[in-house]
Amino acid sequence: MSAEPFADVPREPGSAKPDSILIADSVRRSFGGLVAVDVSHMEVQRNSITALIGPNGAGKTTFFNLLTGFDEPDTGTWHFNGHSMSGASPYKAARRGMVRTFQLTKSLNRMTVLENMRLGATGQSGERLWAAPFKFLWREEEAEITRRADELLARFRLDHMRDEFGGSLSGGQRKLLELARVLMGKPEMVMLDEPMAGVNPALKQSLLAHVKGLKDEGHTVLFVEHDMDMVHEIADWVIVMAEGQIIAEGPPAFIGANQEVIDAYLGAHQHADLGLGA
Amino acid sequence: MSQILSNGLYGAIGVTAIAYCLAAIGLNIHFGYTGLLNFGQAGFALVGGYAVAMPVMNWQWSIWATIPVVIIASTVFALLLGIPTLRLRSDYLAIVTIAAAEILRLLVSTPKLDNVTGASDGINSFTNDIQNSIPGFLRGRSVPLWEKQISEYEMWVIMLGWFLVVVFSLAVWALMRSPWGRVVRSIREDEDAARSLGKNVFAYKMTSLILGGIVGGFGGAILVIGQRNASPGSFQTQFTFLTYAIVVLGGVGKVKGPIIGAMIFWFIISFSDSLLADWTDRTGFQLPTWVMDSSNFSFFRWILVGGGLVLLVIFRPQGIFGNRKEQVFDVR
Amino acid sequence: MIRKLVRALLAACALFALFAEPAHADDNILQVRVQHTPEGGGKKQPVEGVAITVTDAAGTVVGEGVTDASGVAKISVPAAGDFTVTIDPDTLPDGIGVSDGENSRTVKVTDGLGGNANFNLGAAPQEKDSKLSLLPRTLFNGIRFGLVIAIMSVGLSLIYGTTGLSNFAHGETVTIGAVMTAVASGWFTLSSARGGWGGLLQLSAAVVIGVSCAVAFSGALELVLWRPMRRRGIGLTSMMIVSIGLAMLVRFVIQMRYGSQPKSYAQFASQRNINLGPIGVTPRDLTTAVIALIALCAVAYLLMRTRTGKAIRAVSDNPDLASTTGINTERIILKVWLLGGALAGLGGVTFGLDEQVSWNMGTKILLLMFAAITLGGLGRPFGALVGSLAVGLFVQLWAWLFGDYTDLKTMGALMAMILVLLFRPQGILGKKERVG
Repeated sequence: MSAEPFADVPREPGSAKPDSILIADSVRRSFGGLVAVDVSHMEVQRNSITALIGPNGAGKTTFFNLLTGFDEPDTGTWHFNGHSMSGASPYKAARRGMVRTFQLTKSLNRMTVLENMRLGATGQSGERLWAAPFKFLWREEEAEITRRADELLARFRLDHMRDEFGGSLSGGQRKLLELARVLMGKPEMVMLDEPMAGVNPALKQSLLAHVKGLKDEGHTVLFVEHDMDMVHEIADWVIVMAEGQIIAEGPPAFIGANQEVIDAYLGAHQHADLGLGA
Repeated sequence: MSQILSNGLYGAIGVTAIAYCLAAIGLNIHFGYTGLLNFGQAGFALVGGYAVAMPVMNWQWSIWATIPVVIIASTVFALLLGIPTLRLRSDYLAIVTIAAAEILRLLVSTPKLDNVTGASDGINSFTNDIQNSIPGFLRGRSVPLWEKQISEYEMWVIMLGWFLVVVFSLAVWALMRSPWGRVVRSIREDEDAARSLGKNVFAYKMTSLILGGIVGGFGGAILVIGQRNASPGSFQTQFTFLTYAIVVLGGVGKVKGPIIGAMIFWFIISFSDSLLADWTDRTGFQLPTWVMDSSNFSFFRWILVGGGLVLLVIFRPQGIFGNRKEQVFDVR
Repeated sequence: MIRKLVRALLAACALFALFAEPAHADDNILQVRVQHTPEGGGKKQPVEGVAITVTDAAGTVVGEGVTDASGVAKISVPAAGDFTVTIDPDTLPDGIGVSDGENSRTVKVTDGLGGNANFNLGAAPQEKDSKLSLLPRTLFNGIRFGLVIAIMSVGLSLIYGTTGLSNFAHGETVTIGAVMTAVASGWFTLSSARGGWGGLLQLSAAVVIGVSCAVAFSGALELVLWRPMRRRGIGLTSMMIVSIGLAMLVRFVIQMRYGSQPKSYAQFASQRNINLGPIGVTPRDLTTAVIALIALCAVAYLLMRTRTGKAIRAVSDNPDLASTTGINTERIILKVWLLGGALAGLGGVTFGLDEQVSWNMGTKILLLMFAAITLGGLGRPFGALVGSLAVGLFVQLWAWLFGDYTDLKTMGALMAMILVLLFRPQGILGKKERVG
């Protein structure tokens, strides 16, 4: 939980970061009369682990969907590594390096774990129609991809399930698979949508370690969570949303004591320990 | 009985079985592998059939020159269908594809376009080139199939047809075991997952629609060549439903499925037709007339198909070649 | 109305021409001859009493006339030049008509020689009435047809809304309603009471029987087929394919037992027209329209005001949420199937009054039903109503506009559906899908 890059960052909503990989401006999304997201400015620091938290209905997942192209905003622009991403379809965002997971895991049930992993790889020329029928064109790439897949599966302790169908995995195993699969594409930024949801405590520690490991490998992580333990343990920086807007930003300890955040979660003028104290 | 059995056998390998087999291979690409609810396969077959008949009848083309026309016409229809609808929910896709196929059929039936399409009677004499191309070893004889005799023309078409079946099945096998096939199958499982991993889902769906449509088009081509007649009556919505039955019977998403499915399907139909004809013709064993008589026995096949499909989906949805584990063919 | 106006206008012009411009003795004469070839061939016959109007190049009326017994009218024109000779089709006798564009000619009148215009008419075209005068009847038929479709599609839409199933066997429920009514009406053989009130009573009893059969069929399917499939976790696509197989099965059982010949209900054989304003309608048309309207109002009342209706709408919207509020979703679904069956059966009866009862009548209209509910917005019962009216109007308007292309009217409706979906993928009243 290194705080050096964040040492001089003001603890205000929408504050600028020294080396932002993702910058969003004036992003707005409404459904009928309801304004779900209204973010004037947000920056995510490169190679950090940033948490996006907030009470239910704050618009976190909607914001996530907007950034990754799974939904269209009314207005707004955002840039990833300097490239404009507004209007980009989900697959384009993924190709640029913004890969996301889903709250309800999408393991491909009728494909094996290994096939799930191979799917995550990018740049396999065999995925093009013209090359596909001719095995000799893509055989070597496939071997390399399989090797990497096995490595990752071993790291995530899923190697024994290699040839099982995705549908036969337990809930926790699916979470691991989804995370491992995402890494196959060597993404720059990994965006996790409630990775701890429905995960038993034993598995949580394992998952936490994996997510921390991502940062060590040079990835940037942005995750949406309700689980405050996770946020406390691994987040470098926390962004708090409520009613569609960013209401606070700062390191976990600061956020835990922030009155506005407490009000947002529990209603006005409560004193409560959100478990974020160091 | 041997007469009846050979009729069944004839049905299993005959032109109709081949045509439906090709249509099923195409539909298997759409529905079996990609999960596209295409209910307009009859439309692709119609396009293919008329793509062969019309140039020959109207502009005196050689029939072999119509091969690229079949491919191009099927592609165009796929594009017209796909561009607006592939972004719709699958329920909408089903209805739109049925509607599109019906529109085509109505267009081709209307008396107004009689000059070009032959309207409801259809187009007839366009098969001379095929007749002339019958190879020497088939000429002048009819091939016996047990108790049935097959004419030289028909035998030639059957050979051409099965050749196409083998070629397309090999192509499907090669494609589906490749990384391309993997992406396509992942789309069937969960589109959004595929998108989130950087796959251009729309492009894959469109390609799949085109490929399956081309094979379906060749199915229609074989049908009209074999029957020596291209008319709208062969391409009603029923065509699509029967093709679905064959795909389910053989096993959704399996290469051998459409082949064995089509053969068994048409064996059963031809066999039962023949059997019931025998049982209602006032000789030998007779069914009581309140059950069935000579005027309505030919409809029993649909009862068989309909009932069979219901039982198949409920009790053995993986069909003949399917895997129990990969069984249920939808994930909703 | 418009004809009268035109006639009045012509008369006024004639009067004006008569009194405005005195005739000159040595004017040029334009001779107009109107003849017609009777149907079936033969010698040309003169047409008497046809009003002729002659206008000059500027469009001013310069002469009038009426053809005499030999079909000739001699009209003076003030000078040489080009003139347009127009015959008034309204003054043509019955059975002789002329199409738009063929009722006027341009004629050159030369000094001293005069000019000639000959009109050779054939048999009267199909519509002797002007297109415009048929419009009210077309609209009425369109709305009526739309209402009949609506009865059937609302059921289909409710089933889709609550269970997510696209029920391809709905057409067969329609057929069962119609066929069983026809069969039952044949049982009532008190021939002395065929017409009038006795007949009406018999038909009503038959309708009750027919609709009950449809209800029973629908309910039985839910209990025996759909509910167990749902319990086993069998998906919607599979259920849809089962409904296709079922439809085929039922359709041909009906075919084999009922026969291929379309029939009418015994008690409603032939009809005389009643006049309803500018529209002539048969009592049958009126009956179907009224029945449809009453049924739809009843359904609307059910959905909006009763507890069951609200529960149905809740389950349509969000089944999980609905069950948490204590609604017994399984029971609601059964009620929806029963209701859908009743509506389909009733629709079949009205449809059978409209056209005839045949074994595949349901199948024929199934595609239009799907088009209607898709157009209106999948899963929205009021969308089904809007979509059905749109489809009904569209089909009739197509036949009216493109008289030569009536066989393509279904195609027109289908293309309209595709076009609407292109620009509004959720249908007219559908709700836009929210991602995530």
